[in-house]
Amino acid sequence: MAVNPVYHQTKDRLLDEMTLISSAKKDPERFGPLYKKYHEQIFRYVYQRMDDQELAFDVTSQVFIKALSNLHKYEYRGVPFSSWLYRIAKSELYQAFRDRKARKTVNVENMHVFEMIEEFEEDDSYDNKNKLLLCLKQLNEKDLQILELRYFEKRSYKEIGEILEITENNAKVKSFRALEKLKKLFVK
Amino acid sequence: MKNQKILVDREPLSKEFIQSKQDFENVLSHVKNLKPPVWKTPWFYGPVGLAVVAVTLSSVKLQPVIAKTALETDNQYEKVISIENRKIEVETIAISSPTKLIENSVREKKSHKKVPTKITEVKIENIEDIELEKVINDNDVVDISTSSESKKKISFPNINGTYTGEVSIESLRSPKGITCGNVKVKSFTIQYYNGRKEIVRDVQGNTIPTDVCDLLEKYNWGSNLFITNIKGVNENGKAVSLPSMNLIPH
Repeated sequence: MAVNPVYHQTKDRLLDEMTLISSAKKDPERFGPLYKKYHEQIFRYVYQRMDDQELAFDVTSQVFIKALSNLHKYEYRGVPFSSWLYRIAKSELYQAFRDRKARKTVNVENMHVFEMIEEFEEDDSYDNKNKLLLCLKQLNEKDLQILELRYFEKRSYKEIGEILEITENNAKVKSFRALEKLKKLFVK
Repeated sequence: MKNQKILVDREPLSKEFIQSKQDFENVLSHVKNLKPPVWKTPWFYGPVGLAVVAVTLSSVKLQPVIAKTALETDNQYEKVISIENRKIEVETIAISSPTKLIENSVREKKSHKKVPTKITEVKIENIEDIELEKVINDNDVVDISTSSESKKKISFPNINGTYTGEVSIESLRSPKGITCGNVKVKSFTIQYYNGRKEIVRDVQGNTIPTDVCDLLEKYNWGSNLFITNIKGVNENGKAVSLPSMNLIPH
């Protein structure tokens, strides 16, 4: 499984990031490098769950406005700064779904769908693909979210844990259970 | 998840396109223009702070006045109670438990209710240890002097320590009969039900006659039994009238 190189960082890079955050706490204009570094990542996370491109850019901007105005509350906990940004993004997304009546969207690639069908040991036919997409709609929000992160966005369990504020092991267990649920729906 | 859309193979956005949409200046200006919440502004703390200070000051100033008023009121009640105690006249003892009598008496005085002329509630804490300054009966059988010399410590009449309330038949049959500290009970009137009607009987001595006890056991179980007009002689040989008793045989 591919590893997100922007998310996964060495200890040295994390410490460099901390220096940037500390200086940005004193002077908001120094937040620029962090914005440039994480903007694309956060935008892709938001846009993955939205249909409207402009709205996704708006929400991304809102995430950084919130992050910058609450930067004094940020505490380093040994995980990349992006995990904090993802949490803000998650909350802003829900806010957008509520206030702006945006429609929640699941973006999947054909390739990922067929990979999943193969994991269920079924034929990778178009009928099965459509069936799987219908089954995805029947899943609850939490299960779908974890499957999205794991199988469609190809994130590591560590990253999923940090985004969802759960442990790496818990992320593993939850994604396995969600996949089992989907399999049951698919085989039924 | 009903309200959601599944998109397959949406055209991916290029890195360059996303980067072209970056606008840190806009984010920065938004942050700079952000207004703090109302409760963090001096406008909020001005009036609210003033109101808090005003309320605190007024409560601090009012507290001694309230305490003083309360103290004065309590003193007034104490005075009234002490005066009432000096003028106490016992004709009939109220039918209620001795421990509650104090509360009832004080409550009546506080609420300025008219105390019945015939019934005066006496403050009793311990029926074995009460001091009455003056005991006057309607019949004026005895007149106890109000001088300090003649002040005697007398107890309320009781049967095996029970002045009012539930009393066992065994206690009623007890040869000790009605006792009252240093006062020797000489006669009393007992009111009971004999199965047909209410009987009022004058009894000489301090014990309840056996035939009355049998009737009490048979017909008066759980109902009120009144022992009134209790007369006795104190240690100086003077006749005294004692408060009435209200008992419930059980």
